[in-house]
Amino acid sequence: MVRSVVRGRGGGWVTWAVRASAAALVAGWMPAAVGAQSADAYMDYEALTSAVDELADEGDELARVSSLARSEGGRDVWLLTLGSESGRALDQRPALLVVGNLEANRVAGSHAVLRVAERLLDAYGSDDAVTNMLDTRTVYLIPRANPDGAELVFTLPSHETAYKPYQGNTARGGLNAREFGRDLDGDGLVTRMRVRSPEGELVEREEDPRLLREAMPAREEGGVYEVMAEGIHPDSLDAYVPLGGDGVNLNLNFQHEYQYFEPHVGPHMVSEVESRALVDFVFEHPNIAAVLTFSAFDNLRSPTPEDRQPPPAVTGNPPRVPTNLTADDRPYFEYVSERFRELTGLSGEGAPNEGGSFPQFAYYQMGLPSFTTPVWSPPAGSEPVDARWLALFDSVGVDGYVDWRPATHPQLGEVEVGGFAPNARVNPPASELDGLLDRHAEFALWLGNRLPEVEVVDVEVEARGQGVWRITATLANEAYFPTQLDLAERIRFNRPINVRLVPNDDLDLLSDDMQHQIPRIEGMGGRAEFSWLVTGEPGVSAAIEVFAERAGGSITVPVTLGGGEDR
Amino acid sequence: MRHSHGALRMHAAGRFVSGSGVAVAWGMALGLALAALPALGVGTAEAQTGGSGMFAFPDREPRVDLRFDRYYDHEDLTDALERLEDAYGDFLTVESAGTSVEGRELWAVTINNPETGPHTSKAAFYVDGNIHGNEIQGLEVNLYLIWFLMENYDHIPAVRELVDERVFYIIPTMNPDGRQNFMDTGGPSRSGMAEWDSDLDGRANEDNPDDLDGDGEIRMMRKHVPGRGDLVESPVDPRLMVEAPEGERGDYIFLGREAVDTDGDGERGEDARGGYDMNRDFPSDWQPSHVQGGAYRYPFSWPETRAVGEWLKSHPNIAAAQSWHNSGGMILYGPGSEYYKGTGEYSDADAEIYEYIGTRGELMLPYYRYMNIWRDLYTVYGGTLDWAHDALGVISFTNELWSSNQFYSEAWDEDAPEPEELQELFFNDRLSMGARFKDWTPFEHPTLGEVEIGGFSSKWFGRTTPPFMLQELAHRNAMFALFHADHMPLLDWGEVEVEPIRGDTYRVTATMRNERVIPTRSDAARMYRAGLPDRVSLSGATVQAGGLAAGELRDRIDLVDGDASTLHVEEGVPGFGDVTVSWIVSGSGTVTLTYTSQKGGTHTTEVPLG
Repeated sequence: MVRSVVRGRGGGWVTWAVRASAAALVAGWMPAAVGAQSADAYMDYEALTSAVDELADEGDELARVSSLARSEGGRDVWLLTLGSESGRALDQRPALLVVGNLEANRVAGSHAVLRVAERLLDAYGSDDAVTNMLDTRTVYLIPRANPDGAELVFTLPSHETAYKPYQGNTARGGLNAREFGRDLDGDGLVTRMRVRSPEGELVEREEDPRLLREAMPAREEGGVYEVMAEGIHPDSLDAYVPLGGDGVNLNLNFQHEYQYFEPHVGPHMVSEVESRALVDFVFEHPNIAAVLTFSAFDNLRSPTPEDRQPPPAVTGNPPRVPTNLTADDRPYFEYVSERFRELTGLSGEGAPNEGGSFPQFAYYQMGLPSFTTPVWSPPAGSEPVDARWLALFDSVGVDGYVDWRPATHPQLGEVEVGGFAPNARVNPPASELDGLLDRHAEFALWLGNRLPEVEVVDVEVEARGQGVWRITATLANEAYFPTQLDLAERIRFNRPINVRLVPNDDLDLLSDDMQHQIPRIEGMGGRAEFSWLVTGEPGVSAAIEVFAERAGGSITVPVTLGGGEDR
Repeated sequence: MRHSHGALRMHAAGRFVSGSGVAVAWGMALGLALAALPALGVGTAEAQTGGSGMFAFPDREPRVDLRFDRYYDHEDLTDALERLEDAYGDFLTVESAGTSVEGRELWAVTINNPETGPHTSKAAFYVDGNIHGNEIQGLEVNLYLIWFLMENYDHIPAVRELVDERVFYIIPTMNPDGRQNFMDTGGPSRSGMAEWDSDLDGRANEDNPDDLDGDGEIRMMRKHVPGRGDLVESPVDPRLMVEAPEGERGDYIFLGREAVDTDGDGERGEDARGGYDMNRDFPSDWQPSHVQGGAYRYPFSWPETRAVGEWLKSHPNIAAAQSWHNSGGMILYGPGSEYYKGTGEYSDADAEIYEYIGTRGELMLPYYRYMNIWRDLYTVYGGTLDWAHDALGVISFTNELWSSNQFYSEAWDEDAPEPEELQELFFNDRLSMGARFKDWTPFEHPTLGEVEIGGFSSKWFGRTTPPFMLQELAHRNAMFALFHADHMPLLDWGEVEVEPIRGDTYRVTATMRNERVIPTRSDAARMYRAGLPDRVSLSGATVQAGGLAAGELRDRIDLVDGDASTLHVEEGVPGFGDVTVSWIVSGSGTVTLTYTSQKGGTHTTEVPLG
């Protein structure tokens, strides 16, 4: 039995907690120790490291921990590898990769990844689905892809930032964007300011005056407010942020539809040690057959729409770069999304414009079934999204919104400070966390058992007389997913199914086809047959080698002429 | 205000026209020289009349005796650089920028005169070459460039000025592994030498082609199969193979490159080392391998490209760059793709800089054409050049060294009764004295039986400059690089005026001039926030206000908010132009003005108030 290491135990938001303890702190730049209550709800690096170690210990032979990369801040990107020691080697099994916390502040994603580990390790041997998954599949878990960024969540005052800080490269110059933020009212939270201004174009929303909407001059209505970040206005020198100098959102740093030169995408694609380690890991583990990422984006609560367009900043791609699921792949993604909604009871409107994201890389550049969801998100609806967030907060009885209150700004004078509490829309409150983690873990288990798996189901040796034989091998994939998606066939680094009959001194190949390659074997009982014409004495043995990198790795099956080795 | 003086506006013939009365010595001199007829020397107007001559001098023994009628392998290069460093250690340092897949050092040479400042304080010219292993001449051009600058520093004023005012960073070869493979075996060796599963069977490099006859080159195999083939010996020259006449069977078949079926899968040499293209590995306009063959995981996937990328990123003083490839005789400029930024074009202002330098390069390089990559050649995603242009703000060319038109006679083409290969055989026999063709020679192949190995050399034919023509190629291209280097921004204070306003309050107006065509901030640098903007500061008095001078007469100030003692000059100093700033200051005594530019150096001047 594995004790829960990621269960939320506290009573509120990270930010709530920070706010409560902030009174004791001097407002401004205080790299505070993590407040006691926030540590209860979410794990900082130290707590996460302990949790990972604990899972690896208690998972015993089912779990191994290693470091995928060391961040610039000296923190490890932990990798947990799950799978039983019985059966095929771990790198020869189809694998599910689960990644969390690419965006700095999405620490709930870390918990969701670790909950998958708990769910599997808890029930191995007692739950058939779990046992099967750990005996026949490998699960790679990367709970915190951005350990430096995540640490900002536990630093006062609390900001909402998806960006990994950059490490003071003086050549970049300027100030980190984060440094513009100031906690004016000393509540420990950097939120928003609204200022009554003749130039304001916003008014309070009738349905909920906490929220603002655009004024409608055509209906004889003038604007009242301007809204801006709670902070100082940089002067002209500090306002210049050179390329890459503004902190990197790791989930905008990947290759597909990379948004060149936009804010927070990094100095260039895959520029960061963490993003590079992730891509290298995927390339070096061709047994990975599906990817699940907990991120700001979503294609599970709602599948990628058919009319999806690339982000506007993506201008340089030739027409042959795909911008949407292929027609053959779409049904798989739609079905998985449908099952996700059934299994979790969660819905939402999706967030498909994920230029430069990791889940997008996994599908568009590796051809992998790649799913992503934000853990915490309001249901779909006709109201504006901010209103739906407030409704969600109300429905679970948590206050994630700071009411506007007066404050004095050093440059602007009288302002009001308020708005969404940092990260309230990113990480669920502790009261909701546990249930959400369980539901997502259940989906991960469902997904993992659907990875393709090729087996050699039959080898037939037919005597043709005069020492000539026809050997026929039948391969099958009984699992849900095909051995490769449609898009994967276009991608150079994805190997087709290779089937070889290895001749030897006693067995000669008559046909010129020692090696066959086919792009894929369909799922749900898909079959493929390969045959060779050989000559040799009865009783002579040879081997059939199958290589299906995403669906079982290398398999060798012996075959004997006339020896009844049929399977 | 930022004035370009219209200096960059050129008419159709590409001739420089000065649009204002401001004296811009080098630009004027060059414009006039071109109007008369090309003067292809390097350096300043002064140098053109210096009378020293252009080449290393026949009446002077070089301090480092290097030959440029031969090709250098990695050991030879290392040795040559050591000798140069021994002789010219005051100016020249050799470092390793990184290590190749097979463990060779990527030598990086810095040429700097420390007496005129540390290398980081001056505009630098970056050169690399041979990113494609089989495009070998780049190394020799780079070695020549280093050697020429060092040997002539004491003798040619223009060289002395370049070495004193500028810095050169030179990586002679970016792909020493591919180069070595090419020099060992010839053949397709564009790639680096990392493991690569060409046939996608899960095993890498399990069936390499082999130099079966051990003659130092992997050549073609043919087999004599009388009456059962598709080829016959050419009636004109039996060394050539031609298709059998219509309706007849031939006597020969081709069997591809020298190889055995090492892995026994029925195919010979189908999984060689390498198979990727490192000039698709840079992070601008990058596309994966299913969009463009040759790319790998992500930009900077390879140790060689990563090392070069780090080198470039860590030297923000690099203002201009040159890469050597082969072949075809081209001075290539970007962008590399018609889809680049949705337009397929650099900005007009940046394009004019390329045109200014590139069209003059055509004059210096007979048989070379100034060409756009995607429009005139083919599409390249993720090449060195676009990244240097976009993300580093560096004006960057790629030359395709060597045009075989330089080797053949135009006279032959006019009639050409025989096929092209016959022409090539004629030149092989009479000009190369047989070096480019190997006669078909019998060889006992382990599985194919009796075959013949021979044919045109892939090492010394086609792409590779014949050694006897190599020095001219090296000189002309190195001089083009120096011309380009000479056009990096060269800043100098122009007028600095102090005008009393009242009491001890003054208006200080200063102009910074750029005497060369490349601005301190290209359009791309400004648009994509590459590096830092220029800064100009005033110290020694209280700054009340300041900003760029504005208005036609530059008599007004475009005031900045807040502290104006340091001003950003986002657009830098334009090519053949200037920028004027004004401050209102209070104080007495002397004020110090400092102009700081990553690509234009740091320049200080003092002026008394009152």
